[in-house]
Amino acid sequence: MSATAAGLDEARRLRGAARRYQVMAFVVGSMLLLLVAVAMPLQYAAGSPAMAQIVAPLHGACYIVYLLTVADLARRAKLRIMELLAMVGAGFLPGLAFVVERRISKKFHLA
Amino acid sequence: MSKKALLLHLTLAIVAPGCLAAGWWMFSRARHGDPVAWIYTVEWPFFACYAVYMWWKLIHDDPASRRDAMSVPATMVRRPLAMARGARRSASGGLAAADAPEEAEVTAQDGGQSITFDPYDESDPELAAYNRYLASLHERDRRRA
Repeated sequence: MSATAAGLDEARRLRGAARRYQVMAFVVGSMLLLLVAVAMPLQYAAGSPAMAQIVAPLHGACYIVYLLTVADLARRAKLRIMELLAMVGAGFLPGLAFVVERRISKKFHLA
Repeated sequence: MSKKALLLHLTLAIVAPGCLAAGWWMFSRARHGDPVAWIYTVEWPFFACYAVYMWWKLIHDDPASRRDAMSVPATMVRRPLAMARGARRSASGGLAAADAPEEAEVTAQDGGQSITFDPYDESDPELAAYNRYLASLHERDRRRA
């Protein structure tokens, strides 16, 4: 493979990694909001933990997949430490996922 | 040891044992009859491993080689990339020619023979396709800005 084809290939892979990160950021961000805004008030204010018992482990599992997409993206393109910290923190600080996702998507030229 | 390295070591020293302790706590809860806690018993050790991985990665991160691969405007990528290719073509020849970015053409020695490389050579379909791809990215950003 020539250097140009390798460069094009790498650019496409990087784009794919950024896209996977984008999707998982949306999933994890939405789940965390659902957990904090709906499931936790239901558990602690209304005393019905059924929803939290489903959403909380599901959010945890999605967060693991999300962290893998972050690691993959960080492996392909160098990210700043603060960017990485924000990406990791997006899994447990409500709302942060959407802010960081916007920034990272812009950086990697995604819509 | 740099300030950054010290900070990373400190962070790891707090986060990794913290994750393992949380994992152990969840394990004891799971043993005492909380089925949901089994999931967290697996998760927390994973987070500990992730912290070690990120620590290792950031410790070996060389700021000098930092590149934001796709956030560079097409015009800045185009020429060095094409020149790198020209330099690679010259295989055994000296790479010195590639150090002169102002030159539109790179000349390198290849077994005594001289090779001339034009970075804007549109007759190479691969190079032309890559340049078109970069130009389209750049154009899209320009429109969005």
